[in-house]
Amino acid sequence: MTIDGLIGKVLVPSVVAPVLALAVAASVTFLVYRRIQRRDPEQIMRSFRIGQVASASLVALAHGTNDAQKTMGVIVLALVANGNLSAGASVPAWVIVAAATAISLGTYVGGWRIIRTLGHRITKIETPQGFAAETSSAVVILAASQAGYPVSTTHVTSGAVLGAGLGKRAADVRWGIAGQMATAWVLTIPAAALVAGAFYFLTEQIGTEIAGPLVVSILAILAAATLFVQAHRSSPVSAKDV
Amino acid sequence: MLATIVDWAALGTVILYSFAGALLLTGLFTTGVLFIEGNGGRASPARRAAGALCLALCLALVAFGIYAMFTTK
Repeated sequence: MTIDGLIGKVLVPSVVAPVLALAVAASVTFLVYRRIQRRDPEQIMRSFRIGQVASASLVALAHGTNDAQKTMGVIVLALVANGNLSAGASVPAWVIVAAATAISLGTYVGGWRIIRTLGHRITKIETPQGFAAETSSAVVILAASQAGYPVSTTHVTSGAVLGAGLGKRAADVRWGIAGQMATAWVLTIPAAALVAGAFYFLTEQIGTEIAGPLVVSILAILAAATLFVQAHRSSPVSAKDV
Repeated sequence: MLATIVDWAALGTVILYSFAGALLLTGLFTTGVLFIEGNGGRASPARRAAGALCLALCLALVAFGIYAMFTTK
């Protein structure tokens, strides 16, 4: 991919998608609250809770159509580059299963800290806001997937949650947390590029046959495990905190 | 420079579909819920039927979207 392709097909959509999710979620939340404001909150919340299960499922589907495809794309690219797969061949079943398993496992083990930030720390989310944010995220990600744009589910969902906070009158949005989040968005892309570059350099130094990839894989697993254990030891977050 | 390397038509379509899809889905769901829940008391059969129709349309829209995604790869 050329630098033009990288900017046009990856960077610009990556920046536009969270802002779009914010605008869509703010509009949708505003309209939903305008319509339900004179109704019994208890009754309405119960129905929106059911709607939220459906909209969350739609986000999971959208997540699979975009984030999982990126994971598979990187694996297939490596297989083609190494000559294990011919260019234009379909994605092997084991790659699909491996990507789905890894993403499901990550979803299972890593959630509560992010759930707390999105559900409580940016703004206190009520059920109709959650429904609006999830529906907006899902639609933005599905539309981006259909157009062939790789976007981040995390970034899009965070933008939508911020939008759901802005769309409800008198909702308290903590701009400090939102700013930290935006900084993290900006830093993750160059940080990922740096780590990938460092790992590539290390692989070249050790040997590109078996030793290099093996050492780098072990290092990557150790680093991920250390971060995971550190996060759980220093300030564990569980379902009770959400 | 951006003007030439970004496919603005495709990006515009994503923006348009996102607004239209989200507004339609949440609009239909909210209307359906408001019809079915009634205002204070139990809703009339006609309102409940209208609510069910809105929720069914909402579901059909999602199903159509998924179908369209699978068939236009």
